[in-house]
Amino acid sequence: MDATLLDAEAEAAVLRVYRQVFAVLAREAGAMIVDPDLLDVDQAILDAFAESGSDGLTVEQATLACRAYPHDLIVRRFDVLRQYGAITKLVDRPNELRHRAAFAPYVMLMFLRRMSVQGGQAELHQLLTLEAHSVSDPGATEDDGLASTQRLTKVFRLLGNELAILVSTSTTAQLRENAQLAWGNERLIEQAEKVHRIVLERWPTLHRACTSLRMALAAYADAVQLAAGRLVERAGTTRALGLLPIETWLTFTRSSEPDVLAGVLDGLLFDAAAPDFSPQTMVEAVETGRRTGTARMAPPRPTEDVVAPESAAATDREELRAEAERVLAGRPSVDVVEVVDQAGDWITARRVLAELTAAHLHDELDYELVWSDGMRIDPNAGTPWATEGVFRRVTR
Amino acid sequence: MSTASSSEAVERRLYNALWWAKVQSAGPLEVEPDTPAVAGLTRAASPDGSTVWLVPTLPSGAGHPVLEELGAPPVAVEQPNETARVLSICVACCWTDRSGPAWPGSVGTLAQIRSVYAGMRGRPEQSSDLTLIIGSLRRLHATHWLLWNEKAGEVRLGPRVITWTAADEATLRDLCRHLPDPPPAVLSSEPPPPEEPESDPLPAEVADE
Repeated sequence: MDATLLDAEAEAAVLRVYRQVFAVLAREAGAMIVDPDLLDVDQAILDAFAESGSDGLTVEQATLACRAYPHDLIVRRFDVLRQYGAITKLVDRPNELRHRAAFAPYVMLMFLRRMSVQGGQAELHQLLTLEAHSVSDPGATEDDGLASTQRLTKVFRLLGNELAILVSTSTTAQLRENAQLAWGNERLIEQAEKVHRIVLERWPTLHRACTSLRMALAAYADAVQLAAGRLVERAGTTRALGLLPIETWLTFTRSSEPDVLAGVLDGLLFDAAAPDFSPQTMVEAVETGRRTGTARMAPPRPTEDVVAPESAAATDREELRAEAERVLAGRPSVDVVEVVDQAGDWITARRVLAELTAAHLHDELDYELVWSDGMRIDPNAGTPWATEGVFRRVTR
Repeated sequence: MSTASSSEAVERRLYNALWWAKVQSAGPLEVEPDTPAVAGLTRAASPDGSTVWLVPTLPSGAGHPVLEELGAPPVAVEQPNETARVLSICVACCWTDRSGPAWPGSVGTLAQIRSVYAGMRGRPEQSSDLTLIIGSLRRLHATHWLLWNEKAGEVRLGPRVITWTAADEATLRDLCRHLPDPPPAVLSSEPPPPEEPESDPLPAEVADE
């Protein structure tokens, strides 16, 4: 047994599709397919029947024809095939020993093998062409159109769902393996849109079914874009390498004969395996090595602007002091009513009062604003109502 | 005529393939200077011109960064950071004329390396330093990054440094400026050759014959 992993993988792919289709039948027949060899057994049995001509075969003749496989295995598969009708008695009577094979299971087997190799894309293309034919047929009825549209909707929903689930849950390697779902999608979508157009033009009443087909197509296109996005993101900036996962290259190198490997490397020049020290890694290494030292570096200082600009607080303080001195005008104290009247209207007076209050509250300025109980009321003044008070210098 | 030239081409290809196979298995090779040129291999003459190194030249962008891009592990090396530091120090010691290319450089000594190492660490030299330095030097020698003469305690840059591009050399010049300056080299083996022609320039001609 020198089966490589790649072979096993191909077999697993065949088996996966086969199992999906026949799981129900096989379970009922009491024989699940658990080994890809069983597929070959089935094929061998059916091949033997094809060779046998119109006389049919008995079980013994079939096992003899398939002697490459174990006897009991052939008998078991023969039973299974008989139970689900792939092999029937030549004439339906109790003691009939000769059997004949139906052609449909063999066609199915070929179809499955092809699908597992090509991922069903070619079949889907053919299906779409057939659907386009059938809906443009002059004899087609509205029901045909509806059935056709619904079939396509289901196909694309399943396709889109599968891809979307792959994108969101699987690893990149898995996604790459199943990327065949994404190949050639534009042609698929185009073909489906063609069917959709024909249906909608012939039977405008089917617009609801057509809407769901359009939605399914859009969902599929989105899923394809997501998947392509994830693959491209992972493939690196310059090399997609045909989207082959690195594991495939590794498997190839491990499983190939020296001659095959040498053939690949023929005409390629490369360096012997050696550790690489790029200048960037050297700089990083020196930087990290330097950090363990005890000598501490001075923190960076600004080189320009040696004179620090005055802080905003200091500027504010000086502005307040200037305003207070302007109001006091050299006197030790001043009446608030006088200040308000001098300001003229209330808008200006309000601003002056705000500044005096700020000067009073500022803990670095020696001014205070003391309010008293009286109130001046003068309808002719700019500010008719003014509370009496005094703004004055204090000494600390 | 055409058969002669085609058989010549075949021979040429075989000749190249042979050297390529050698380089691919062993890394840079030291050969006689009269070895004909091999396609794809850069020749780096040693300072005294007695031998020539053949170093594979890869197209730009085909080196180790590709491994990183593919997520494949690079060739492992013990104590990668320590080794890279010692290589940096050797570049600082051996690449004395920084206006020119790094190859071939001059000879540096173990004493220089130890001094720069302690300076880089920012502390007096410790006994464990020497073990680390020697180990790194041996690793770098084995992979042709350095040529380390353990008996003489002298080191030169290895032939691999000729693959450094101008951008790489600019980075390394900057790196050398950040490392402490090495003390002057005190060579054990180098002094005799320059002394002889200086001491008696006239008899040299006679001696040559």
